[in-house]
Amino acid sequence: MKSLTLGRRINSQNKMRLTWQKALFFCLAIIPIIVIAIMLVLLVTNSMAAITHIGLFGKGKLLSTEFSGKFTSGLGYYGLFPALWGTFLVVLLALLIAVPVAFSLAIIATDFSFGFISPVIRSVLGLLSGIPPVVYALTSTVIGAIFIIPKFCAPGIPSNQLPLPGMSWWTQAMLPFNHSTLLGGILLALLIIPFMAPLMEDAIKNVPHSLKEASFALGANRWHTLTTVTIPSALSGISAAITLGTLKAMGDVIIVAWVVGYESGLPNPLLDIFEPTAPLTSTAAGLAGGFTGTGVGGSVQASVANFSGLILLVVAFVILGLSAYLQRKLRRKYSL
Amino acid sequence: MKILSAITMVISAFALVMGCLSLSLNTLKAYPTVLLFLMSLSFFSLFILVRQTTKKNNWVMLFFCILAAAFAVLHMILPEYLYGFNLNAIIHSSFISALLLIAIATPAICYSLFYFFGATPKALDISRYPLLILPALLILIVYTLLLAQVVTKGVSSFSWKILITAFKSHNWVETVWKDGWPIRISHTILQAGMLNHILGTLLLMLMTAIIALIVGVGVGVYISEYSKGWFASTIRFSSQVLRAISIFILAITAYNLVRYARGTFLSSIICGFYYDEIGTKHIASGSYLTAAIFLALLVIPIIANATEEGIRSLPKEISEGSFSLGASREYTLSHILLPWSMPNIITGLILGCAEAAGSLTVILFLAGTGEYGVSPWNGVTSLTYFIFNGQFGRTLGNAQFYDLNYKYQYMAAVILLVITFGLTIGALTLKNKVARRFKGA
Repeated sequence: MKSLTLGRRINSQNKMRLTWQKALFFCLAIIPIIVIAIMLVLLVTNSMAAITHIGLFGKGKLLSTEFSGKFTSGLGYYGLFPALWGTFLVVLLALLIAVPVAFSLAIIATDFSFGFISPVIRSVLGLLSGIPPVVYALTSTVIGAIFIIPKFCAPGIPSNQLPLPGMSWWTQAMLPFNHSTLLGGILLALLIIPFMAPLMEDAIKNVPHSLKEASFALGANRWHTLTTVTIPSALSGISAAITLGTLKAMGDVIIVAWVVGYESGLPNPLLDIFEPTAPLTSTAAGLAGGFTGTGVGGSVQASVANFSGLILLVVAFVILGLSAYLQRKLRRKYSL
Repeated sequence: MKILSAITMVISAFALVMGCLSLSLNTLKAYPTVLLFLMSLSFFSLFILVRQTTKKNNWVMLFFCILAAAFAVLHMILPEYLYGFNLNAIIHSSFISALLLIAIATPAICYSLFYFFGATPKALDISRYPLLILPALLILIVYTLLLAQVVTKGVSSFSWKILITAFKSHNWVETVWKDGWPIRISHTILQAGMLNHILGTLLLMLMTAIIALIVGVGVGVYISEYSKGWFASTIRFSSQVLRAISIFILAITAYNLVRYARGTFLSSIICGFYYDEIGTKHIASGSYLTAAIFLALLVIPIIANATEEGIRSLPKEISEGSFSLGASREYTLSHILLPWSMPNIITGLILGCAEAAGSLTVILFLAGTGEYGVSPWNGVTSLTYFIFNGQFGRTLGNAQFYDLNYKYQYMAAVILLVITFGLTIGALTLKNKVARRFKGA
């Protein structure tokens, strides 16, 4: 015991002394803080131009529904609400597909594993998480061919006999062949499943074994233990995994630009997932000239892109805060 | 009971397969009504049988029986194409029937498994497997189809010539003096290739790894060894925020930085530069160095986390033994803590490299065709940008790039997959080795 306390004292003495190593590590450690500060300052200063020149509220202003893209012909409308709505739709679809699948994968890999399935699923997920987003975007044609076109594009009808639902601008070319919010949602789900499933797996694995054993000892079977003991106590970790997946889906640019588009406009029924409703990231990247040419985006467009980055940051922080609040509440409710 | 539930199981398994198939096939119109009626019937007979044997009414089964019958009737009156409500699609009825089939067949197979294995608590466990396996299996089939598409198209379009030539699209005017008169000869080089894209990806990974290793290990060591309390948690929080905020914000910051640097004395370093054929200096849209710094910001949190975890996993006795033998903190750090956590750090580094190779979003605004060579000061490019450019044709006219490089998109994707899969497999095996080491200790 004595040597331990002595060691601890030397330890603390060493901690107080300023050495060049400590100074070096300090310099390296504050880099993330500096970077975040620089990013915030750049985002705010660059978006000031958009706020002062365009304004926030009113027709064609930054937070309105008019965007000079697909549907409005006037120039200089930068309403970002359609883009926000597009982000909401695409991320919601992705989560609706990804959360149940990732959850079932996590359960199969942990509590309901049989034979050699658990390590196999873990390595397969590890491999799949390495697939870059651009490859998913490239293979969007497969999903179009096996799912979207046979189901939603009426391939059996000749184009001159198509039943027209009475829209003036409606043509066969508008059908969701390879551009729709649905396709974007499916691909984003494929992107975030290998990302979320291991996190959920860890959350389920971190549930104390004593809890499960108590449940088994009281005569509960595996399914009952899972639904009444394991899932409630793993819920905070699972919600953290879902939050990280949401943020990853929100921040993606390439997939949504490729299969949804980068000129936003509100869909006609607001929940029409068969129309391409470009989300915020790809709209902003398009404004900054990411898809049409380097340096094409003028200073106003660049400023609007910065402003949408700011909105994205605010939304991300709101989601993170909500999730932290929820997690604390869940942990308090289901902790030992 | 066993026979009936076995029959139900067979019917509902068939219905499940049919439902999954009609998620992509349009031709299975005859089956769903029959199958739904059959399932309704078997639900009803199971309900009667359970009522006779246990004297209890399982109302959920009756509900599913009625639901199946209703779905069968609904499917009978369903027209082949559904449209309206201003929806931007003509929905084929087989999509609806697939949903109906899956919605009925899944509970049917669960119930039949439950009664087949004797309605015990253990049978309940077994009966829940279809619920868990079905979505996983479907999504794995989708992944397999996607990868099969990439691999078959990539391998069939593979060519060595493309692999070892660099992409070039130069136009320049040469002035030749002849008899005292200047004669301008315009030259054009246009060649397809992806050598510079591959080398660029490798260089980007290397530079990202070096920057992220230095900073990430520094952050991890400082958090776990030199600081306590709010400052450590602030640093940890900020490095987690770097990971959690969307990559798009990093990309926009890089874009801002390049825009600011253009025209100043830093433009050669931050924006990158190249000399064309006649020796004129041009400024590119972003150098490998800038891209690597911003990609490293993505990797730093991973490495910091790995370092912290590695240091935390060291048994206390070892570091205290080192202290009690009179070693200083720095000596302990360099001789015990870092070697111990090295496998963790390398695993994080490899995963980070794979991410750097595949991440296009960060370098979206910086990348160019990379036709003037690969060095830290040249304009950045990568395989991901090659694939991207085949679709959007940003740095060239769309038609020009389309003709030259579009065919080789899938080949680039295969090379990218080989790189990332190789790195991920390496990281996974290393992780397993580390886990075994901890078990041995």
